[in-house]
Amino acid sequence: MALREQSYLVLLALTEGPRHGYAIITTVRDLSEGRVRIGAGTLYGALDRLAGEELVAVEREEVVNGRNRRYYRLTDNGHRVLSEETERLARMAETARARLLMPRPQLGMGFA
Amino acid sequence: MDRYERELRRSLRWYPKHYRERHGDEIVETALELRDLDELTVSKAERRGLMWAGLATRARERPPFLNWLAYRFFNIRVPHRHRMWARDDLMSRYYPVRTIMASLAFYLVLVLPLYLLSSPETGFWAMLAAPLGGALGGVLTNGGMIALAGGLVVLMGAASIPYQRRRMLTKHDFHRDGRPVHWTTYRDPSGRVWAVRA
Repeated sequence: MALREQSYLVLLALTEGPRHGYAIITTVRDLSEGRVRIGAGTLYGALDRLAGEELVAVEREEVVNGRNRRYYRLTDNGHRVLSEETERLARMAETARARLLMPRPQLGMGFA
Repeated sequence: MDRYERELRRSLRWYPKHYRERHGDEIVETALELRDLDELTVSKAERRGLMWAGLATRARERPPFLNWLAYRFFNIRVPHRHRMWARDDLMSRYYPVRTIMASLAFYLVLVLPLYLLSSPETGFWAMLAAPLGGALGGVLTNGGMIALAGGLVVLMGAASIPYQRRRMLTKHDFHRDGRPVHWTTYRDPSGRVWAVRA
């Protein structure tokens, strides 16, 4: 299953254990070296989609400062999909690296 | 509640009502945690994100077109995963308006063409309009008949709204106040299983 970059990073953020919304956003930011910054609306849209595909689930709910806070976790299915996508990206990176290391064709080589 | 939180809650109106009730506090709490110390108002990026996410949620929660058509025109229950959308529709203050518009649309799209296309001597026209026109002593013109029938459709639609609303809430497993119905089952001494509505 091909994943969007945001979805991939959200799943990756959950590999070290259940996280709540703010922690997921900051982890995604760290994993992407500051490149991917998602807001609250975008995050919960992504979590809804991933929950619909049974890749994430609600682990528990806590009340903090009088407000409900949910912790999300990676499901077994989510872990499997994330592993497969990581393998696919690794293979693609390997192929790209090999092609980039090949000598570039020079202009005029066909005219001896 | 400060101005920042009020702006966030205003942005939540892009989401469906049941979603706001369930996830609204969580979204606001996360957005407040993301707030920079010197930010007095919600950034455009955050507001835009909430708008698009809210609209996407509305599109996702809405039933497929044919299911929506069956629900709106024939009061057929939507699939279970869309029942919260149905609850929001039934409990909305605009439900009567939508119901009347649907009745009028049904009349204009289905009933009126049958009336206009059928012959005065046979078919729909003769079956319905001619005796009624005769009974009214020929007072009304054809246009008047059409308007009268349309008006009757609207009135009947409006009169049935409270009953329709209660019936549709029950069909979708909700109480009259919109609370979900919970079913519990138990086995009696004879071994028969009963489901109790709560």
